[in-house]
Amino acid sequence: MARKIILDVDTGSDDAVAIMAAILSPDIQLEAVCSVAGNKDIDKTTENTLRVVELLGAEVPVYRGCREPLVKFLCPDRLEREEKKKVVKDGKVVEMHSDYLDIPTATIREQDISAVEFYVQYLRQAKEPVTLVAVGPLTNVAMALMVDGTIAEKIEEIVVMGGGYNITNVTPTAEFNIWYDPEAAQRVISSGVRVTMVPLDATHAACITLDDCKRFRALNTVSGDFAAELCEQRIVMHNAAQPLDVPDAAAVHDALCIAYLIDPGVLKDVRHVHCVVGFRDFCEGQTIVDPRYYTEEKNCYYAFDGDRFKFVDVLCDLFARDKRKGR
Amino acid sequence: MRKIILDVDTGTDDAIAIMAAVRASQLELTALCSVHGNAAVEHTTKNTLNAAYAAGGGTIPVYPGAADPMVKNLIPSRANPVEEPILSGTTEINGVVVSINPDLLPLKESPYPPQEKPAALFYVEELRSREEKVTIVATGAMTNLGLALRLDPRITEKIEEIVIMGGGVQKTNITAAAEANFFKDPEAAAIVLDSGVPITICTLDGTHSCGLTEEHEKRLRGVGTLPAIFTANDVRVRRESYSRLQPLEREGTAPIHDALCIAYLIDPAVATRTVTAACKVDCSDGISEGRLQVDGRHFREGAEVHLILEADPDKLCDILVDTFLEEG
Amino acid sequence: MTKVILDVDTGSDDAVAIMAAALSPEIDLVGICTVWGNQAIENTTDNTLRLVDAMGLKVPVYKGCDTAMVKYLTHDYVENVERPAVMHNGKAFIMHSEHLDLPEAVSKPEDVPAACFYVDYLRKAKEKVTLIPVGPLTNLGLALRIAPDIVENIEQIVVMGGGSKITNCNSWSESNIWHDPEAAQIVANCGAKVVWVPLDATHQACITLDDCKRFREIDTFPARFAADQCEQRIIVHNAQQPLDIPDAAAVHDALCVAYVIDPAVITDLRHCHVEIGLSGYGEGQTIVDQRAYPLEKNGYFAYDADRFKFVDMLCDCFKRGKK
Repeated sequence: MARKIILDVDTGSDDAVAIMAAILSPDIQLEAVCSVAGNKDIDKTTENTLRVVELLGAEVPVYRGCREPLVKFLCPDRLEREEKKKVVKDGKVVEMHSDYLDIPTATIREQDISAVEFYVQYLRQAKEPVTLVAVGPLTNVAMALMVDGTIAEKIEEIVVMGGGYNITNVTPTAEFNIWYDPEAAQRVISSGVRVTMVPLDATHAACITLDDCKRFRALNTVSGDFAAELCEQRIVMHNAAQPLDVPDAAAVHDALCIAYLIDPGVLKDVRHVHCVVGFRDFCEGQTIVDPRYYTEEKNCYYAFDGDRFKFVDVLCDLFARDKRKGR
Repeated sequence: MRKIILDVDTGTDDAIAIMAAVRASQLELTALCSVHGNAAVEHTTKNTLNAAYAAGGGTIPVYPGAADPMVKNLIPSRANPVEEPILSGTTEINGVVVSINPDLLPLKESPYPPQEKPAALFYVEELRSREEKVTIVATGAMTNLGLALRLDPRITEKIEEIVIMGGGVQKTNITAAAEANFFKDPEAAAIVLDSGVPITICTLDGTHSCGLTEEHEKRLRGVGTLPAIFTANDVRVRRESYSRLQPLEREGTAPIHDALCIAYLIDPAVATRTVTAACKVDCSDGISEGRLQVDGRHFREGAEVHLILEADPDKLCDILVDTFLEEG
Repeated sequence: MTKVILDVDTGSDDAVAIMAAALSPEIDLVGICTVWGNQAIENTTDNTLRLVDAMGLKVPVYKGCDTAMVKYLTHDYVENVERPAVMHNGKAFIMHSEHLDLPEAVSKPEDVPAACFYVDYLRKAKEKVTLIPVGPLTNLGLALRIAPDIVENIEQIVVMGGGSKITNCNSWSESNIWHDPEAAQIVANCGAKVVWVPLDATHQACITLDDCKRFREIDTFPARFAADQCEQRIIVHNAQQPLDIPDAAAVHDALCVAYVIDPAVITDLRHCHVEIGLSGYGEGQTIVDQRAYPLEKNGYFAYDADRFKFVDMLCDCFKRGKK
């Protein structure tokens, strides 16, 4: 039976790949997609999410989520993010995430209630456990858990794209999703629900190469083509700003979380650990994993490695299922 | 005669305090320490030498102090406060651009060099070796004292009192919550307040309440000595600057903060409203960083500190006139 | 000969470090500063003096700070949990005894506080001096704030402290850095060459029970006393922080001295950007920027060490001790 999931995204290039993968998988029943502010502001991430859902002709409701982190913006002293490196290719400025995805403007609209209201209502009524896959800042999920703590019982697992142990991106200590809303992340990790963290250590290992993009295109489907386009854009960025060990490759973080639900083998070296999130100063947004022999109480599963070959195979299988032929 | 050490970030009002301390027959100024604050420590050291020299105290040793706060600038978000215009801004008088805190004060260059020993080391050696107690007057950030108290906490045994210009109860200047001297090194201020030494603070409430007027300016100018004229000129600049950049309740007056500390030591009657209260300094890096916290509860926490909340401007002027009357 | 100032919170492994530094022909030990840390300042100073007397050393000892620069001014820090003593053969063992098992000290500390000594000595120094602080960095942090110019006469600062993938105090920090993070941050960015010898290196360079036997065979005072200290540490490590190698203990501080004698004892030293976490979760953490385009490199961080070489070096030093 297909696994019920709710996807929480700040679309976003890799979010788009994740949404497509979730829609196309026969193992997954995508109940809803919630947007959240992160890679871009909430208007853009919501619009981009709607565009992807519509591109695949999916009948999945989209809920608009929180526009700001829980507390971070209230504090004048929270560290500013470093100036990002500008990458120019063929005379054009390339970004990891464009403001708007390069697909038709959405004609479908988001639902009337907010993402947080949806989480609470849906989970209160849920007859069977649901898995949450949160690949943006964790603001919505944390808000829902604060509004009604009993919904935790209805959550089978929360798969989080975020954090980094040996690898970080936005500061020397932090990955963007966790850094953007550290308090929300801490609330989710310590919620008592089974939490699987998919950090940069796993997503960088499970990278997508230019050759993999060729495989996506060869499928001649809408999703294969669009995924290839997004991944190629990310490869340009990675080569310039964050070169990976594998040449001409990019992390497509968010999609790895969906692949994990289909084939858990895409994550390797998953350890049960104690993890807290740094709130202040240089450690803001850091996922601090207790490395000691006698650790504090273990509260999540943390993936230290990923399998890129398995990951690409899973994605190819999914994009091949797309009934819409290439653009 | 009461022996004092003056710790300053000279600054025009520090300069008036220095001159008054040099001239006052009631006080024996044994040494000066400079510190970062109104300007970089290189400048405040030079200004300190020149101000002492101008009042006839050129041979009083000046110990160069800390260039940075104890730890505050280690965190990037704490390091760059938004400056209140009055503290760093300029204004024009008759087409001449003036500031209450120029890098270098308009004073003749002292022929005497600063000491080689850093201020914090001087405190430790001096206080360890001296027989009788000394009063310390701190009118800038209290970094030197904070460092010295960490080097050797027992030096408190030789300190009679610490008189501070800093903090504000209802008045603040550098941020909504804090006065500049406390804000520039909150940790040092906290260490000093917690030291166990008797403490008197000339708060911003106190110094604002005894701003000098045009009348006072005229009286000081009439004295005719160099320190008096320097003070009169500064009152002029301050009256202009304050009326434009930070208008006070009593229009046309200008506070000369640091000088109140010395006036208080010459004649405590200048303080007209004082309280003893339990005080702490906020050392966190939020919106109330550097705030002087006065605990108003019945079971109060913090160091018991003597706060000057109001002072008499006429009396302040009388003291300065008397002190500056004699030529150095 | 390298001129060296040691800064210690003696301390079992500090004792081994002091003996190694005093006995090495490569090192001219010009002063020892004490600091609070493993124990209160009175104890760490007394222990240092006891060892100096037992060794018959003519090295001045300067008493240092009794608390952190600013850390304890606020309640805004995460409480450190003390581990209980380990019972072994009916006796209680802790990592650092209050008093070293040596005759009471006859010598006294110098009259000058440690941070004052740093400023005075370094300003007058004719040649550059290597500093080896192996406790909390309070003395050096204060000295650098009082007189930042002293870095001109510092050859390098070899710090025992921090951990990238190994911690001991809490899940993110090592105790020396935890005890005074602000001082550590001042040292990290002072402009001198800073070599961090963190737990990642010291746990690799562990001393085993067999190594202790080797010490005992040398049969000098320092060798025997080092064996005592290491065996005590092994008992505590086995119970609280077992290492990959069985019946072994990290003897952190001595590794810094060994590095100054022969840098080859550190086998993976990386030039990188090091920063110290200053509050909340992460307070006292040594942060190493591992990104492809890191922030400006300001230090050297040791990731691995050669334990066989380390033991050989210690044996060489201890052979020079008195019977």
